[in-house]
Amino acid sequence: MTTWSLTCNFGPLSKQYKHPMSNLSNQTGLGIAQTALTFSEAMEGVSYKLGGKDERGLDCSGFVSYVFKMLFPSKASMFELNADRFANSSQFEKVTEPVAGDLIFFKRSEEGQVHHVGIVLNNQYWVGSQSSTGVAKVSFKNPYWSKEVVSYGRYKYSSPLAINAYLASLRK
Amino acid sequence: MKLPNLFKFVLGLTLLSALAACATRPSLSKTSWVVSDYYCPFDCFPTTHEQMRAYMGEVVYLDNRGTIRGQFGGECRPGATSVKLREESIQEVVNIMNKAIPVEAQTDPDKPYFFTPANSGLNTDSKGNPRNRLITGGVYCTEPDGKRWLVHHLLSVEPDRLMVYLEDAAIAVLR
Repeated sequence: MTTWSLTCNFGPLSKQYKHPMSNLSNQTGLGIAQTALTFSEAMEGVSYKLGGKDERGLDCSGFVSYVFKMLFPSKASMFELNADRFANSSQFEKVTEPVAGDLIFFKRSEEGQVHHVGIVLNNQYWVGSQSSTGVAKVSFKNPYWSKEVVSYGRYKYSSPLAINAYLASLRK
Repeated sequence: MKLPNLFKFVLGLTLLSALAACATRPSLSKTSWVVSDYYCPFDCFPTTHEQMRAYMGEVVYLDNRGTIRGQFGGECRPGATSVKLREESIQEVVNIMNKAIPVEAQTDPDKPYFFTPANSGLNTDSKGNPRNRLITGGVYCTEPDGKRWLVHHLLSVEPDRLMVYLEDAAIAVLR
């Protein structure tokens, strides 16, 4: 049984997407989740596009890349990854108890490659760009996705402490 | 024209406009559908075949009951389901599908896959008659804050047949 150490209550969000400030408050797990949600709302009706990386269409890793690049622009080049590489990136630590802002990875078998990635919003939903719907929120109860092998990854620099340490290292 | 008559005229005109709009707006002919078939133009993964076989004969409610199972797994709250349809050329629908072929379906980089009106099955209606245009759209869930999410991409809507685009580039047929 998955337990949750953090819950996420989103306030009213603007219908119009605004480029988020890449400040420390956004660079937390909640900030990642909220940015992903805001961005996905602005992307309503935009189709999945294989290899797509912008508002004209996104695939699953393109969506995740877009969110992380906006929040962590100084490390943008490090998010040019496909789903499997996100899962194996040293920037993301594997976790078993997901919280808002973690990445959720999907495999068809234990041995297989990660073929899909999204961002955990809260204990009920994750968001991603799916081929059948485009960018959309998906329930953890969705039987199609819940039958796959699921794992989670947490961005190492998504806590204020880690971000401060990272920023301090840049100033040296 | 006297004021009451003018009021009646304007009211009548408004009602007529509203009725005309309702009459031309496409909608689903029924709310409960049965999963009768599925196919994978580019072949599907065994897990998708397994799932789809399990759904055969399953009743899918595309209405406000909010109980949709299987890969049709929109978790709509009761009263929160809506359908938005439009008329479109088949080629335009195929173009949208071709943007949405998942990366894992492209198993051979030297032989990229593409949907066509024929291999998607969209080129003929439920009676087998050729066609160039169809009714397409989506089923949405609406959240308490008014935000809508697409849960089913309806490729083709006919009175007796729905074609639904699924993950893994699979297409389900509901009747």
